[in-house]
Amino acid sequence: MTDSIYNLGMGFGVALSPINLAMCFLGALMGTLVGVLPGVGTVATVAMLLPLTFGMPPETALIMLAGIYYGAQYGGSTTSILVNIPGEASSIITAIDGFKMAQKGRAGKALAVAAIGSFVAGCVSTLLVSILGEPLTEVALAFGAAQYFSLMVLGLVLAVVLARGSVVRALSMVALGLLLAMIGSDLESGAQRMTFGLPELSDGLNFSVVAMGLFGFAEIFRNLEDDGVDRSVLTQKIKGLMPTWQDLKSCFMPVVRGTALGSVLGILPGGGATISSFAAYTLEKKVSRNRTEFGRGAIEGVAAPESANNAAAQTSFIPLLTLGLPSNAVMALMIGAMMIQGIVPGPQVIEKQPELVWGLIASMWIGNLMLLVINLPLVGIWVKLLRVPYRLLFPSIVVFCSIGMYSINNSPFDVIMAGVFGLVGYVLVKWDFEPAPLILGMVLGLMVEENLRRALIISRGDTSVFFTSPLSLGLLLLSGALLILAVLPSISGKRNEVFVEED
Amino acid sequence: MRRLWKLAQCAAVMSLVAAPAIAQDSTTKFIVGYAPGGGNDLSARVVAEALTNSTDRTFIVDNKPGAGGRLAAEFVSKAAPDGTTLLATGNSVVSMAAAIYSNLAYDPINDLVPVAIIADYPQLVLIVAADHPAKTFEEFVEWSKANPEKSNYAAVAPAYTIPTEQLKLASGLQAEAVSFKSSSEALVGVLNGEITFLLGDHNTTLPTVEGGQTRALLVTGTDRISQLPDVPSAGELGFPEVASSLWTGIFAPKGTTPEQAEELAGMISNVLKDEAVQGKLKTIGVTAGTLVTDEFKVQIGKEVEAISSVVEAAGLKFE
Repeated sequence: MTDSIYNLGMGFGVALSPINLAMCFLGALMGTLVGVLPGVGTVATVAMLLPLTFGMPPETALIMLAGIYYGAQYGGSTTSILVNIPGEASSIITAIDGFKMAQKGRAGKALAVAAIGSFVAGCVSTLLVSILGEPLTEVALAFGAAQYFSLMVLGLVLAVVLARGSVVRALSMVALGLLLAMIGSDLESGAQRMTFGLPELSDGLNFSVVAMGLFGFAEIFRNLEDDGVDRSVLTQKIKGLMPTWQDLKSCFMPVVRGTALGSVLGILPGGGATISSFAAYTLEKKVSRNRTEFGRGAIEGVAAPESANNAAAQTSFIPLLTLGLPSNAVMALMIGAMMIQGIVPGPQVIEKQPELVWGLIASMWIGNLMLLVINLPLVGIWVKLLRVPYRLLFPSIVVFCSIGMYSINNSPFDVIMAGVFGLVGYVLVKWDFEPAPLILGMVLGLMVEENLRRALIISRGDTSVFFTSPLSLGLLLLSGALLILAVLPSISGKRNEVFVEED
Repeated sequence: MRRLWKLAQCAAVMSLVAAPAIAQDSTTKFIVGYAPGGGNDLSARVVAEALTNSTDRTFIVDNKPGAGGRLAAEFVSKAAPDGTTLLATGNSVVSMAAAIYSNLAYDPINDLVPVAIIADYPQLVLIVAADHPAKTFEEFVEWSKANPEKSNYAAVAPAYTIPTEQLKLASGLQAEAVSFKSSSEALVGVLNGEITFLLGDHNTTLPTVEGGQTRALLVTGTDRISQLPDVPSAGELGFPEVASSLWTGIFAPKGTTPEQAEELAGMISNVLKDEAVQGKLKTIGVTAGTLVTDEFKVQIGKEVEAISSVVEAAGLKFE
């Protein structure tokens, strides 16, 4: 324990040098500005800004990259709240309650709570990373294909449970999402599935493209149809940009719970961070005293997922630093950056170059602080942006989205797909289906299938492998229980009372 | 008068748009078919930076990921052969693709002109988890024959799968292929015991061997590698044909003249002789390439033949 404190101290010594601080700030700022562009997710942002770090010494480069990473994540949350366009999988949930809050004139509070919740989560998980880094890696290794499959099944059930309204509708959206996830090349044989001969589809549908269309463009189509009825709320004087003490008090436990969940789930290479935000949201919805407000602008519904996904973002560095394993695409980019700097990440990096590792960990905390410093004052500006007349705002959103999407793969095809999904999203909303379970199904679908097949190949077709592992069995039982809990009220007729539809 | 002013404004804006188009002609793009950060991408970036510094042209890297690198190959094969669009890619898109895929959107041999190899990948290393009972490769083969239902290997890309299948054919090793999308996921599989072994590149395998979590049983090719002096090579064990010659190479679109290719190859060779460039390539785990134009083409031809015979013998299917 004292060892870790000593190491952390050394790390701060490295991270607090003027040039490193400046680079962290710069990284966080640029990450936020780029990440806030609707359509540009974290991976795209980090990839775009990566070349800036080439000329720098290794610690500085990594610290700047960490700043960019957090900035981009927070930028993604900003667009979720302001214009209902999630920057990436973990921001989808923030969009649900965050955007509703924005529509009610409480955008400032939503943004501020997101920043504060993220900061608190960041502090706690930085401590966790430094003290428990090594043992937590064991947790990561305990998850094999069967356990991942069960975890993803839990994720799918969570996607159903957190939707408002009819369980059948939510299930059908998840199913549709799973179908969409099947598009692309089959992992085992390379056969093309549902690609209609288009090579651009052979890698499957891109998350950003679908999210943009389903959430962003669909929302724009709907607003154009309604022609300014709802937007009058935003032209009124916005009461208080910052959350009141009452707000902060009610967010305390959600932040704590979100941080706990996110910290644990973030370690799992490959999928943990994605489901951390919606696990936190669903948990909050179940235990909160304010649960009727969830889905209509509950501040806890923003605090919990934001804390969870920031905690997960921090702990996803653990497998990277201890074993050299990336938990997600951004970490893979970090490995690339490290290699350019001449560092091959792996178990010995933490021994041979401790100042690098601990400097990075310390800079995580500093990066979070920077974000708070940059974003809280910016809240006022963002909120003013919402007051721009819609006829000027929406073309800019469309243009930025299209640029963002094109920049992912330099492919016009992606932009067209986003348009197609915009139409799909519009139709779905008209018919009272929620898009969130669909996109969650799509994100999880691939991992569900991959792990199911892998588990079965390894066990040579023996399906009992999902039930003999205690971890896997536990997760499956939990999924079953949650699903039954969700269905029960509708059987006894009570569910419709709880979820009053918004007009 | 107003009309004239508006026309002038239009012309001014249009010339702004035209300006980048003129400047483009002195920029050459290396199209990389993978996301930034991968081996091909990093090698291309090192060479592009060096070329920009040493010639009067600008070289930049443009990523067009998709279909395992083949989308970028298709794009370049259809590009104008004026030296501004070049492909930076590896065997899997050229020689392996020619041998294993039957319905490609481009012809890897005739639509792409080989210019130069910029990076050679060192031999692959076979690793097993540290707690696996087998201590040598022979013991491992025996174990796999006695426990075929427990023996799995991680199949990440044709570049690694094909040498593995070759090894299986040559040594009698039994193992079932389990697909993974990336080497790091495969490595997790080895560490938690689900996957028995994997044949991978240095960046994937060496860190855990040095850290003690895995053990190396052999390296492909005929010589031992300096980082693992105690690990026998496939050649020493009696399987010299199990070798992998992975590279990152630069290709020009169809229609590029031999003179243009020679000129480009000359620029690249010069840059690859620079010690600083060689050093940078070494840190990303590769060595500077040597083959150019015709020799490169011959190498590709040899690889296509070798791979086709392995694929046939092992009955592998790729689509």
